[in-house]
Amino acid sequence: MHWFRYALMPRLRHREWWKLLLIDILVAILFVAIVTVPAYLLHPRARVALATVLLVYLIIVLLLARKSTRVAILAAVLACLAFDFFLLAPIYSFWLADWQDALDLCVFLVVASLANWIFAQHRKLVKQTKQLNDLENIRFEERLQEQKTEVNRRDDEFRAVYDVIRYVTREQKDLKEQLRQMAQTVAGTFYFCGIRGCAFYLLDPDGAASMWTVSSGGNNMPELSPGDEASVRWVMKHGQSLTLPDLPLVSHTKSSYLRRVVINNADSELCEHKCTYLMPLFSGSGGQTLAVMRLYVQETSHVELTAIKSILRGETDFTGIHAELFSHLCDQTVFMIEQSLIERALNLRQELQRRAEELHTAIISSVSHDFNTPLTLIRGAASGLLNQVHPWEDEAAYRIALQDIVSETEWLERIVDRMLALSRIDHNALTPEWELYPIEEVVLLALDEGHLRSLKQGRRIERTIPDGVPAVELDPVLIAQVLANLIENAIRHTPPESPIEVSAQAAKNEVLVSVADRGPGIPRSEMERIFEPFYRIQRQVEGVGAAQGSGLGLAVCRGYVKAHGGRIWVDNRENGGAIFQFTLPINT
Amino acid sequence: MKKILVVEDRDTTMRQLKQNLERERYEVYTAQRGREALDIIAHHHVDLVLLDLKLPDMSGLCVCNEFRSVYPTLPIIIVSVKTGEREKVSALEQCADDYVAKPFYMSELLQRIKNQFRLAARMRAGAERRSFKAGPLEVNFAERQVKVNGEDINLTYTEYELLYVLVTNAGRTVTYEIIYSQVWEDEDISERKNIHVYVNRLRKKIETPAGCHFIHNEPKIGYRFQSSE
Repeated sequence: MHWFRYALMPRLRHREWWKLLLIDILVAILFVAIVTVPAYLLHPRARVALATVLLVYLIIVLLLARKSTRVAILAAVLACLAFDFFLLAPIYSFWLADWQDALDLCVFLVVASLANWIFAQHRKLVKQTKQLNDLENIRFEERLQEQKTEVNRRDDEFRAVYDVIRYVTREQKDLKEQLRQMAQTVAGTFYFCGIRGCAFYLLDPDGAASMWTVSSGGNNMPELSPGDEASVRWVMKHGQSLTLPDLPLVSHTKSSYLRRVVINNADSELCEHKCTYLMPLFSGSGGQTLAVMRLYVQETSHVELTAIKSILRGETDFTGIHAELFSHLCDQTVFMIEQSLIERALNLRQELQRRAEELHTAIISSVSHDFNTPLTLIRGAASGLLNQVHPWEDEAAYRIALQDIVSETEWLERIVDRMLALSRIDHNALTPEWELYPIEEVVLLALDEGHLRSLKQGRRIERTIPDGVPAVELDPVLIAQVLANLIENAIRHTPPESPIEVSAQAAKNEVLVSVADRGPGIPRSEMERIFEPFYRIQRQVEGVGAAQGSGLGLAVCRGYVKAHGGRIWVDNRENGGAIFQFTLPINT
Repeated sequence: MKKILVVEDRDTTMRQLKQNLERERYEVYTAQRGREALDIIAHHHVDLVLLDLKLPDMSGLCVCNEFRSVYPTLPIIIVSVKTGEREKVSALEQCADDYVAKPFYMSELLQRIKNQFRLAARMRAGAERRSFKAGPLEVNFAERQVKVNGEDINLTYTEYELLYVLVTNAGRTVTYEIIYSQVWEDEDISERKNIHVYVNRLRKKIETPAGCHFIHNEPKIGYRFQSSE
């Protein structure tokens, strides 16, 4: 029966309560009729004891009471009326002839009510227990689910920590790759509490102006705008955290500039949706900011996020296992960066040491070669002259020997000069004496230099220096030496008939001076190395005799130009030939 | 025969100089120490001195000043190593007439010596010169007129003064200090640093049309007017 009622219940519960009452009445009538009709039919013939009938009624009432109190009471009252009307004398009348019968009916009603009450209590109890059980079950399941996610999370975290350990201790160490994995680990592990992306920014360990950016990747995190980059640099410099709300850039139409609302830590509650947190990562010894961690966070009220945010704000008293893990990962990142920096420094030192050794060997072999070759020639020529009894007999040979001696001594003189210059450069003993000089004067000075005067004989040297090129503060001796070395190189390494072009032009804050030739050019791979001391390009130029230089000229040039705050480099020209260029800053 | 005193402490250099000078028909006195040199000066007539600044007993500069105090017009050429520019400049400013850096080309040294004698001859002639001529360049001092290949050249006041200082000291290195004091006097010290810019302008005006290289730069020391004759 209850299925019937419960099926109807939703529909009837509110508006159609009277229908429910009607159904209850009908059910009560039906049950009472089921007992009353057979009793009425059998009563005169089989002489059924009226007490038995009352007991049967009671059973019916008890049956109904199990389900519903109202039906049971209705049935009890109906049973009383039916018993009185159909079975008790006088029949078909509600009048009771005997007080004994009235007492029976009263007892019946009382028993029925009592039973009803007991059943109702019992039902209530059952219902309550059931409700309690249900609640318990739900709670239990929830707890189970929570534990499951917690276990999963722990599993993830364990894996994350394992990954971190794996790539921190890996043999092949690439800091960028390590940081990228770390960023992915952080973004992946803390996705559950709202962290959508993670990136690290650090100053280029090689000293370049640009910053290293390592991001967790994915589409979750927007790119950093130039303004934000300035914020990153601010954090790097000041070592304080910043919060940047993810607001769109507001374009200011009046003054047509872009601005962005930057809200400091204190106001970070204003961020409603997504925020970018910038946190400095300090070195183990404290003090120095090694890197900046950028977290892109979707704001949630997750307790772990709150704890992580307190870490981001630089607070130390946080609770929560996940926050601890986060803090641990930050420490690991610092460790990774420090380790990499130390390794880099070590490598650099080793590299420097290796290069110093290389240079040392090169210097010894070069010096012995550079000095011994001309000395051998001079001694040979001089002893030859000494052995001639009458020098005038073979005048041509006599003159050649003398010329050899002169040119070799000139060569030795230059090598000594350059070595002295180089040692001054190496020991930072170079102190340019600044004078305001037009480039043209310096070019003349260079061309007027002793050995270049004889070397340039018969060579076409074109000078193009427009009137607009301003005078530059420079040391005329040093810059003339640079030009002389470049011109000498051009003369030595190119065929005698090819022209050499010396030109100067004004650029923004500097004057660009170039020496161009039409020789064989410089192999691209050697363009950097030719400026190193004692480095010579290994080749023999056709049509050029003694192409060997001292290997010092360009190193001296670089040292001198650097001392002036300029740059020097070489390029190949379009239609063949090399062009050496250097800049000299204009002091305003 | 002109008499030249060579003050030099190294035997080989001394011998070389002596040989070459004698070949040019000069009479050569030699001294290896400052004292010795002063002795010679005191007892002999000398027309020109070649002086090394590095001497074993006393500084070349002192010797130079002693010479000058005795003979105000004696031409003195400093022959010294490249380094030590300050010393050279102060020698040029105080007493010396020219300098040649070691290692030097003998031909250059001989030319410088000749220049000094020519200059001394002019000085002795004593007459206030009214004009100067060097190849295509003509300078008329009385009218402040400059001509190249017979054509008038327009020079500004500073450019003319610069040319005047150089030309009247032709063959000698004129130090910056002397140029400053004669061209700018003490008027505009800030203009002094533009000396190379003025020289460059002057050079463009007279050297380009003449096709000659007259004004030689001795960096950090001064300028020298050298006619190519």
